[in-house]
Amino acid sequence: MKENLIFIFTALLIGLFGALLSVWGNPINTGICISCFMENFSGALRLHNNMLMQYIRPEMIFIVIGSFVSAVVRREFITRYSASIIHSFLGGIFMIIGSAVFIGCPIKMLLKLAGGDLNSLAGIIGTIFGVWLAVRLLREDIDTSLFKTVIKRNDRSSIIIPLSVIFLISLYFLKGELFAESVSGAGAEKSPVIYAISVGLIIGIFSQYSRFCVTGSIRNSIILRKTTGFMALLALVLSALIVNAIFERLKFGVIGQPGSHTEYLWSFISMTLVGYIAVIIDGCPFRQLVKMGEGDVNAFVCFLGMLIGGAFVQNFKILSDSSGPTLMGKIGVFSGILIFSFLSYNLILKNEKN
Amino acid sequence: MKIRLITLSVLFLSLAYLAFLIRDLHFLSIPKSNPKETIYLSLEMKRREVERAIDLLKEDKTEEAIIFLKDERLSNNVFAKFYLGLIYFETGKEKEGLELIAGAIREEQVLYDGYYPDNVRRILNKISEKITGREEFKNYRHLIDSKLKGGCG
Repeated sequence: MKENLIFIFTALLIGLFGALLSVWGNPINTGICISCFMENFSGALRLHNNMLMQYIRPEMIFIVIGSFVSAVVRREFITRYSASIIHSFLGGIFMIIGSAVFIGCPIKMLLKLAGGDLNSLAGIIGTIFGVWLAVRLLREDIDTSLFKTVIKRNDRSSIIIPLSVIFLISLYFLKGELFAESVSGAGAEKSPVIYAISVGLIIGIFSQYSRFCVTGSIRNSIILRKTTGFMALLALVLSALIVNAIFERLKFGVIGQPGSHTEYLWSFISMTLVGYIAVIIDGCPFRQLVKMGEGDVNAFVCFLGMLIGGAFVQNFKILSDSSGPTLMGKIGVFSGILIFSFLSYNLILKNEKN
Repeated sequence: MKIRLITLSVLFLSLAYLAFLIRDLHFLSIPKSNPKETIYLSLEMKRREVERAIDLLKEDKTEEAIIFLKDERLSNNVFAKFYLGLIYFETGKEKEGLELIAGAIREEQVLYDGYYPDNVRRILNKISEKITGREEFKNYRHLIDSKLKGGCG
């Protein structure tokens, strides 16, 4: 009971702070969006040259640090990994591509709805469908040995992961000139650093404790037929909606919504891909950051995939804008579907051989 | 035991040296690249290329402005595309005009960004008002309004 309440409370915090970060300066409906943050991050590291999308978002870095602190305090920081490294890496790339074509990760998808953007409903249905498809696959008699987690209790080598993140952000605060930073466009819209750090830490700590994940919530609602996940997502949307209403940012409709397009089929397909991958690699982009802070090597590999994905998306325009997806965006999404169909088929085939 | 001692020594020595190097980095002067200048200059050069056409428009000489803007040398100029679209839109060829305007703002985001002083936000707002309620132009209105509100995408 206590765990369920903390799970719902974490979602409520994410909704609350997600909306507040937009009020404080982040792009509209983008208080927390891991795919946008990753695109900003790869831009800041000069992996792509879109001068409007370059910024090291402290929120994202401090989610990892918050999770690390919580995991250490709760003695849950453990080096762990599974053999599904290729799934994690490609999953990271294609979750970012899918999110870029929809314009938003699963958290932003809910924040958009809380801002009154009804276009996001197509993405929500797509995510649920993608999660359902992946649950169906996992229920089949497939070879799950790839996903079996190996826990190394006495091995602290994965401490390098959070320490690298801490080193990077220290370098940013010490010598910001090393990194690229937008002065215009979405990358230049930012909350005050102290707010971003505080929010990142709080959310990181609570998410590590509660294991909150958007796609995980949907997955558990489907598998366990419990309402906790659904209640949590509802709490996220409602808390953000209340903040948006208070600050007069709530406008229901489909036309003229910021960072949103009306190509519903593509919203559905791209978020189906994201939902499917998130279940296969055990976590949406946000959850991967939290797991990375706990010492999960696969989550770190996924993070590297997301970083590369962020660069691909901007360099090759594998994305959407308000008028819909680009040709490269459509190619990107179907490449992801093709690759993950192959990987899934391989799991079925392997088990038949065994 | 010996290898353990060597490894630990290397670890602490490299840590100390790294701290020393980072202290140097702090005092190192790195010229901060200013994307503002790059974006502003490239956009401003393009705007100046079509300044004559903008003046002609202000004098209601649309025919001359069209001839000017259709010059092949301006085929890659986002301002030429935008203002040609604006003329078409204002002179009855609404669909053709909106198509050009949409193409221009998709091509160059800074065109409507508040930070660029010669941006076209005011014009875009007027266009959006004019096409409000026109079912056949709802996609263009969505694009313009969505872009004007900012955010990612």
